[in-house]
Amino acid sequence: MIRNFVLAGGIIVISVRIDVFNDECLWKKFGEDKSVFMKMFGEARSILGYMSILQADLYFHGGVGHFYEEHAHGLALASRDDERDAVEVEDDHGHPHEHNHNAFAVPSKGGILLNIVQHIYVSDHKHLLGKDEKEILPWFYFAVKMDPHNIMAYTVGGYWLADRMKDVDEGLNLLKQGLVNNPESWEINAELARVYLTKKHNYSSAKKLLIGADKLLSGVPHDRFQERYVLSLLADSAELSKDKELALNSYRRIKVLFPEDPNVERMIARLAGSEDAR
Amino acid sequence: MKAVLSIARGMYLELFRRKDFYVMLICMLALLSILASQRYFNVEGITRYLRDFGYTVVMLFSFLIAVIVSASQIPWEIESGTIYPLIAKPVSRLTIVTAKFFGSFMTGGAAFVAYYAVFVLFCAAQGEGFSVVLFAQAFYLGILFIAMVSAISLFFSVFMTMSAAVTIMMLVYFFVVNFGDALRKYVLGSEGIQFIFGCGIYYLLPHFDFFDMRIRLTHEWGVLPVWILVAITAYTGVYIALLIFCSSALLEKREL
Repeated sequence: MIRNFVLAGGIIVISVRIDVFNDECLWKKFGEDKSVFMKMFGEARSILGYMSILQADLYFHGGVGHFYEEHAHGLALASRDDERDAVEVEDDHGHPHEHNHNAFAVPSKGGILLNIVQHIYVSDHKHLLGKDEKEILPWFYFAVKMDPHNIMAYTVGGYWLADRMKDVDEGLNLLKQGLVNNPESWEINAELARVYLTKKHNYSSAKKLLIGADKLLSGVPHDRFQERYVLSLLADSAELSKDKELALNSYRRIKVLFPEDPNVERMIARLAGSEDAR
Repeated sequence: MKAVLSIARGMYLELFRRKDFYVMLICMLALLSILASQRYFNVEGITRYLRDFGYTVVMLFSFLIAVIVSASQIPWEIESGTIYPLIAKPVSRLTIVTAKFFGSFMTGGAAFVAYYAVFVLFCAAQGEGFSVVLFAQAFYLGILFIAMVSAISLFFSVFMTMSAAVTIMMLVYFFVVNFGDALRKYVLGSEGIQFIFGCGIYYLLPHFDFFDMRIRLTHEWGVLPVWILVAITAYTGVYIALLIFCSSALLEKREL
């Protein structure tokens, strides 16, 4: 990955030189106070920013990456702990078989050279845990330095610092920095609000940010799950800051999005103090 | 043997006259110093990225030194005419190639040792501790890697110009590192003539990926079993011996 990273960097540096627009932007104003990454990579630095995120994911998986079994049954990640206990599933013929994490476990044909690789390559699966969780952080740092408009780097980095590393203040700092660079991002507003709501218990700040996130979200293409995410947080923060009207309104909007959801119905009933709740 | 050592020693001393060795060393020191001095979100003790970058740079720079030194030997000797007094002596072509190989290997190996020592010092200075056995295994496989690279570059340089040999070597390295595993999966998934053909290519290609300890070293995976190290050593030895034999045979046929 690092090797590809360096190679991509080289190609990008060259591509910037032949890009007329970037030449105008960068080389004529080279003396201006721009980030070193902007000077070196121009607009192409966003690619490197996303590569940093991928690298963070790779570090999370011990440098090995994802295995097919994780995503074989859908987009959601399966529980790795459960997988580790050798999940029993049925194959195409209805026979149960054991999932094997060793991606290189193959029939032994072709002699020693073809089969020795499965013992040389790392083919097990692990996640960063405990004190090792900090090892992922440089990649979020590089991602936001390279591309200050990489929304994912701020939101995932903020989550990692506040929730996984238990360093709420650093997480908030990163998200606030993201908000300064991307004031139009509903994702950063929502993530910042989530940290205020769940970690700082600052409900009024969370509510303000979520109202902003809701407005920003309505101005961009989005799906109902994203809207539900913002509205759920807004309903929670409104309820906790004693603004029942806003909380009720938020749940009603969620009900429009998910009319079949009984939980939303229950929440509305509870807040409205109706007989159904009792 | 005396002739081999005499020629190889001259090449080894050349390393200390080469500027590229020092340039790469300074670049490496600068890069590792910058990386080691960084603080990320006020969190201390982050080391894996340093090992990742450091090991990659050590292998890359050692690879470049080994390729440039070994690929330049025979073309330069022929171009400058210094090979004629050498072959006028009762020295066989096999001896010349073997000496050139050992010289290149010692030169590349010395560069690797210097770079690796710097890398280990930086890792130790981080104070997080590391597996000595894993680092020793990475060092040993790095030495084998340099030997393999020297032998292949030397082989190409027997019938190519220096620049062509270096370019081909880079391409082979790029192909094996990036597509070696894809080729292996293709071979294992094929049958009949495709399997035989694929196996032939797979066995013919030099497997640089066997020596790559980056992921193990960076993410603290377990050490390699001893039998794997023995198998890789045997593979490297056989591959190098065949290359030296083929190189000397080609040099024998070449009109000088």
